Amino acid sequence: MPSHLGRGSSILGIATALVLASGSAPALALDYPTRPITMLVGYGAGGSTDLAARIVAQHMEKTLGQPIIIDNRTGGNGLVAVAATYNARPDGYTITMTSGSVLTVMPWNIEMSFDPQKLSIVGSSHESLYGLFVRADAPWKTIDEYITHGKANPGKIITANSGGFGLPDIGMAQLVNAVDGMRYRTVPTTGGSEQVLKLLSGDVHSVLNSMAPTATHFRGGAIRALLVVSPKWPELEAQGVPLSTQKYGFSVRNLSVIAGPPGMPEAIRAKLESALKLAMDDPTVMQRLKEGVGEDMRYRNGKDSLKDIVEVEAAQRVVGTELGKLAKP
Amino acid sequence: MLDTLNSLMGGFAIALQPGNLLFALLGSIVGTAVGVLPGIGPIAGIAILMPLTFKLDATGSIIMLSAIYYGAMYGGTITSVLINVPGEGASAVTCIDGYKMARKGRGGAALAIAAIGSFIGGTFATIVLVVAAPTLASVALHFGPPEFFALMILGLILLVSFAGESLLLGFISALLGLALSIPGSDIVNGTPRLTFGNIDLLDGISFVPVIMGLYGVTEILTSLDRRQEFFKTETIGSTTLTSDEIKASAMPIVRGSLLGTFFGLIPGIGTILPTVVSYAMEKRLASDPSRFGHGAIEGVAGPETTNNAYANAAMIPLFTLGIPASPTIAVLLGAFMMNGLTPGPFLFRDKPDFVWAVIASLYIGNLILLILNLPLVSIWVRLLRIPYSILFPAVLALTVVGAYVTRNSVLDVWLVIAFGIFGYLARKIDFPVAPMAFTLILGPLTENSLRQALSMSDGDIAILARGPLSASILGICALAVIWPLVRMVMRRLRPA
Repeated sequence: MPSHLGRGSSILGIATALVLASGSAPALALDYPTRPITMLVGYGAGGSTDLAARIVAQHMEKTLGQPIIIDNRTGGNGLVAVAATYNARPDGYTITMTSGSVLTVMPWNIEMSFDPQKLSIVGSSHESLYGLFVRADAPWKTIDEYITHGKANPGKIITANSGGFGLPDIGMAQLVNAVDGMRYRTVPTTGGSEQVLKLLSGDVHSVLNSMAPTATHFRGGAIRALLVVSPKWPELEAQGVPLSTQKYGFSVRNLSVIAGPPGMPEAIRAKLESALKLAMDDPTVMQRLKEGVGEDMRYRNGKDSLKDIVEVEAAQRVVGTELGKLAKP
Repeated sequence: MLDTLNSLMGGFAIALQPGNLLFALLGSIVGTAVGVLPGIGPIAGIAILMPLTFKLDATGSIIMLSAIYYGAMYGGTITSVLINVPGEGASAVTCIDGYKMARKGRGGAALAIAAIGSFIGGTFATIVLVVAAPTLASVALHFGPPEFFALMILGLILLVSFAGESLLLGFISALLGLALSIPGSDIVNGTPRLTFGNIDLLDGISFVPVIMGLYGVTEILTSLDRRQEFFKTETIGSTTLTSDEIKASAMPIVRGSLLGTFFGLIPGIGTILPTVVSYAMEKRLASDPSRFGHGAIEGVAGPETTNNAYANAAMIPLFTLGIPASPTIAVLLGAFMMNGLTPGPFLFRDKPDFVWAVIASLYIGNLILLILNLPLVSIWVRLLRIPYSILFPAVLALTVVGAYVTRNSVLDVWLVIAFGIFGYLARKIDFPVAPMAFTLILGPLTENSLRQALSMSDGDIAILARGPLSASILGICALAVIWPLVRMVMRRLRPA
């Protein structure tokens, strides 16, 4: 019997194949994720970035259908994790949640072999709330009293930063600039909770610190905020603490972002972005974030995050230039 | 006082509920397992289980996570004593005499006294927490950089107890350790120091791979060299303690409890200094110090009690001030906050049920660990019967994996191997490696506290003796150095 598969059938066959191929090509490209994803966090477990990462990742896992493993890759104030992400394969299986300072301060402050702004930014989960705190029994009740005292006694006010050159230093520099000079001394520490300890023990007079380590203490009355240095901080504003944006015209911004290596396919990045958005839209997640992390928990997509990062980096670079903190002048 | 007892009873009522009891048990088992595995510390165990706590109630979760924390202290001892591989910093000192005891067939006794001492130390610290927590909170606030620095100097001086026969080699060893502690990030400027562009060195040379190499890998290499059977079966010995051993351990346990509890109140001091001080103290107070380093049970009883007392006492700054005493406690703090509980002075006031339940569970956890570990001692000790052709590769594999797992860093693997070889060569010339290992940790703490103190005083060195506390500790240091000289001079003058 002659074959039924004449030329007509083969043309039909080829046509069908072509249609099927064109229809399924985009679906095949998004074969992600098929195995666990690693999220590098450059700070110790239990810290605010780490907690934010864990809480958010726990929800994103469900959307993506694969576990997200948090890997605390500490070192260099968060740099090690970002560098490891930068050098990883852009297949979407290595991402990081990092504090903004790695992208906005470090590029000009230290010699970096790469440009972190080239990372594929997935989105932002929160922005830090910063304030200037003194001990509750300090003689200064307002920021003006603090500044007056500081100017009258140059070099006597001691403040604790979070180690190296970071946001607390930038904030203090901008404050001092806005009031036409005040000499103060800085004690280096290893981070937010040590800053609070130094303040409580009276070893330093003031700290510029974020909400996570300070919340329990200012709510308990052991320390007092004199100035809000981030763009806003509703809880403190309600108590009458002035905003640095309004009073002095500056603010310190620090966005924490989730990012992948440069060149990560847009389809993968978009999928991570929508998983992040879904997580941040969930009220339980938000509740946990507000309690556990406590900063300004707000979702921002990748594009907006990058725009903000670039803006903040430029602004902080200006401050750094004036202070002579550029690695390569 | 009656009020406190009432609240404590209430806490026990909650902690003894079957669910919470199960969490304590689970945490203790996981903690012990995590402590046994070299390189994987309690931080990893707690961090991994944190998301689980979302599904459970807050009290139960915290109970479980705390149990992991001090369970790991128990677990770390097992590998230190049996195979000379310290699971983490706190067990490093235990290796020195504990392992020697195991080689003499008293491994079971070492583990047993470690378990008992840890229980007593932990319980003591918990009692202190119950009775005096609010008063003791301020201790943490009195230890600023100058006092810290003074304590570190004391620690460095006490390292002479680990120098072995030659004091000169001991000094060289300590200086080597200080040199090794320099690479990393500068605390004041944040700039990298001696990292040679290697990102993995930004956090400094990691302590855990170094001690795993210096103790564990060295031991394997040395035994292979001697071509000895790792342990002859008849030297396993009994696992029960002789009355002499119990008598010898009594005072070290008492002193260890006090020492560990005291140090636990000071955030940031770390586990190395308390155990070093305990060992040095026991050696100095012993009637025959030459036994130390060769299997003196006091060298196990003291440090082990100290590190468990420290672990439990470190909860005090956490509960009262909301200040984490160490990175591991910081993870616990995170777990607290994630579950809506903010540690600090107001936790006692706002959520007393929870606080007392956790405190009661601390005591129960210590008890569970004692019950779990004592009978298991004879099982653990049987590990020694495994022929070394199987044991060595297994230990080596565990050590290498443990080194990698800490930071996902291949550099750490190279460190384990390099220091293993170094330790092996050091043994050949009787070069003591303990001082080097300990200054690696104490060095950065000393430097940081000195630089912080000088930042505070704008360069005025007088700040180091700024108050009665720092001045007296520095005075003790001076005495520790001068006294032996005085004694030597007096002895020379006497026969004349």
